[in-house]
Amino acid sequence: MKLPFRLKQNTEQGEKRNYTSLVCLVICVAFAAFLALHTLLFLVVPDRAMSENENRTLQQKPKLTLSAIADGSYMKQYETYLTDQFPNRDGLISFHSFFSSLLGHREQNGVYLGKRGFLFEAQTPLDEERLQKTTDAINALMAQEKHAQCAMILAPNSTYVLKKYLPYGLKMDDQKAQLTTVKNALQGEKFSWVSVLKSYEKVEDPTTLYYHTDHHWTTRAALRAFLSLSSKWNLGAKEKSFNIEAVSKKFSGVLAASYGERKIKDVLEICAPKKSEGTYTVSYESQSRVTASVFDTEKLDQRNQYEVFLGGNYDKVVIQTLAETEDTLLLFKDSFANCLIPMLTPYFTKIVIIDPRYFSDSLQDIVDDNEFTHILFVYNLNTFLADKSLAGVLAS
Amino acid sequence: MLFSSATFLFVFLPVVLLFYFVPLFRQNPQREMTKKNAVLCLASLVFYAWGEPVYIVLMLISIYFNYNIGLDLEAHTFNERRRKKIFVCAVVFNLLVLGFFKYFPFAVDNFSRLFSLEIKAANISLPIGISFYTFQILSYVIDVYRGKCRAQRKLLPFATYICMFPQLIAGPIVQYGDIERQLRNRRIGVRKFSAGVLFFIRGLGKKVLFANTIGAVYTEITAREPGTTGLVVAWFGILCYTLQIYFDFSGYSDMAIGLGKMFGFDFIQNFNFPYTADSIKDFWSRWHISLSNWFRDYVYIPLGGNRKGTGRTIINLLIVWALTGLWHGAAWNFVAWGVYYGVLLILEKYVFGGLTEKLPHWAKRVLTMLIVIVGWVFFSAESFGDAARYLGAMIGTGGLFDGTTAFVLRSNFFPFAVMCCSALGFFRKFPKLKDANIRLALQAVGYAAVLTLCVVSLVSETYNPFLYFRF
Repeated sequence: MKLPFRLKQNTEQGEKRNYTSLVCLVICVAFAAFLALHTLLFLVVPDRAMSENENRTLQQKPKLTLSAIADGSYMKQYETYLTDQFPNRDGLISFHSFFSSLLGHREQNGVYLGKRGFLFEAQTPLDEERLQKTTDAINALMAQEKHAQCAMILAPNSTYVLKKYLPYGLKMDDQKAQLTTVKNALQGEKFSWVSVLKSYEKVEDPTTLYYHTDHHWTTRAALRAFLSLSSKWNLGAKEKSFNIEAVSKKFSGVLAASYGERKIKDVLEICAPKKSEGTYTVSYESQSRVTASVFDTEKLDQRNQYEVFLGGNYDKVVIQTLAETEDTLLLFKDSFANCLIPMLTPYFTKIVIIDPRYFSDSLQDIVDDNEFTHILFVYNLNTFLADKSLAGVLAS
Repeated sequence: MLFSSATFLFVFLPVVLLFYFVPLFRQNPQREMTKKNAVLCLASLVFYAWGEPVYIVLMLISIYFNYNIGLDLEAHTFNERRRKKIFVCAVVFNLLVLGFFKYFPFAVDNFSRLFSLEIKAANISLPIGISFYTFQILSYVIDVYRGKCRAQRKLLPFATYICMFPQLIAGPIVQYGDIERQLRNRRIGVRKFSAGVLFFIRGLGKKVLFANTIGAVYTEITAREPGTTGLVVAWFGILCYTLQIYFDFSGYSDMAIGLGKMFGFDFIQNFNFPYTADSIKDFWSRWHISLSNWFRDYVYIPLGGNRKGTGRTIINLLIVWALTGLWHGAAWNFVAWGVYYGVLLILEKYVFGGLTEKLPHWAKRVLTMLIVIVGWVFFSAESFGDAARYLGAMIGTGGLFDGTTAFVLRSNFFPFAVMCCSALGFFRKFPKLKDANIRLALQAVGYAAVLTLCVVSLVSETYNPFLYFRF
């Protein structure tokens, strides 16, 4: 048997005269011009220090040293330098994202592009063991703080609420069933479960509940959930006692940053109780900083405008108010709570906000010092199911 | 430095082309050719050092050593014993270098497992292209020893042959005999350069637009939790890999051939629509042709080929295919992949060859593709366990559909279909337009679009948003 088999040499390579000499010349010149044009542009276009879209500093021209060449770091940095400073980099990237969606591609960097311009992040699957740890810890805290009113606001994600806008064929887990699982796992004498899905029912257009470009719920959605909490706790809050104000019409969130910047932008609204100015102070303890507003409007000038709410996420924030009440609140939360916190200020004299993902002190000291009358958990389902920090903090 | 990188396209290549084509010795073609070879050789060393600044020493030693071996072999033309000694010494040296860098950790690992020891080899990074250039060196040494060609008396053309950057890191494996004359004298000109440009753009497109895109689908599917992949998605995934490896490898070969042409060289064609093969034997005459040729010329035939009886032929085939597998990587799954083909080729030859002959042509092609696709499962897997799990998903251990089936198919179907058509050669005679001018215009637009899209994709691949505000 003959093994592989001498092929006719150069089958495609003989001097096949497909093209006239003129065409050949044009090909050569065009190719050379293409290379030369880009090389020239590199030299002419000034380097940028920072990429707004990517929220990072860009590689600058590396320094040529012998040691950097010997360990290869010069070459690596040089390659990054060329792509980072590529002429019209942002334009090319958004063209690529447009082009691949034309071809039917609906996913970039783990973010899905759905109908009507909605971007979605993947859901967290329910891990029973992990969930049990968290709910056990919550139950233990509620048993310990028997006198306190407890509640949980667990927001479903846009993948569930807006599931008809998911890209064709993408199926996600049933978050309604997952919410019920969590609800049934939580037990406490004075515990109330705030059904966010039920509070959404009155909303005519569910697309107002979530952003197109961000994974958070909108401030309007948070207000729905808050009103529902208010009736459970008899806070007496009414919709008309709140002002909703648009602070940005060009909000482009985290999902857009991952997927690639898109034309569609969101309106970012804040919601605050009427006549609340100057009635409270916000202290960021780890930062030794005190402000008079829960809104950090400077953040509107930066890439992630969602940080306008409380300036982002911090381990522990304490809000002292002039509210005419003795009630105090301990709040455990993820970033979904940030837009809801302003609505709480008229109803508590002190609010201690703990973000367990960043919190490393002892919780027991805080609980002992304060005698909270209310304990609230505000999470979204994705973060809650993935969370590993809450159980640890509750036990500390 | 990859050919498909901004550094190569917009810094390295323009500079090299400039130095290569600006004539220094107009009056003296021979000196001009020497200058061109020098530019090419120097550029190749820079190209190699770019990725492996340290291993450049190894390559220079290798070049100098084997250059002298060639001269020595010829100096002792009439002393057969001496020649044999030199030859064996050279082959052993080259194989030891390859063995040390490529297979030492693998060998130590197996040794320690065999005797239940706890030894680990130091982590040695693999010098880029060592499998390719070692094989080129061996082809030179063997050809000179056999008297098939003369030893190269000048160091420069020899060094140029070994380290020529177009085929240095991913082939094709050029045999010395095929290129000896071109090193001395070759036609360089507009016609060849333009053909090279088109080859290069096709290759770049195959690599950047096809292989990278479809490869991401397979990567996503294999990254899933075991047991969550349905049968349909598993098959789609391995089909994507089948396309990826072909376009990746043949794209790289096309770019190498194209660059070679720009500099005036003709390399052998490395792929010839392998997925249109109608038997395993046919597949291997179309897939990575330069490697198959090498193993045939330098291993199979010296072992006696098929001239020493059926038993010996079978053993020879198994040896060749185990080595072919091992050449692809130092891991047992590659060996298994090689032996898998060896056994199938033997079976095809001696057992069911007659039966399959009677099948209709399309059935033969489907059968061949099934065998090839199953082979890729072993080739792509990290371990036997992974391969077995993936094969399990392909026969339905994760159910027929999973939640993502419709999404995965819909998101990727159009590019997938285009790539299938391309791999099966449907575009070969396309467009069949009578009007030569319209055809020309279409081709011009096509090539320009491919080149532009490649640049767009290359830049976009590095999109790297920093999401510290993720929560």
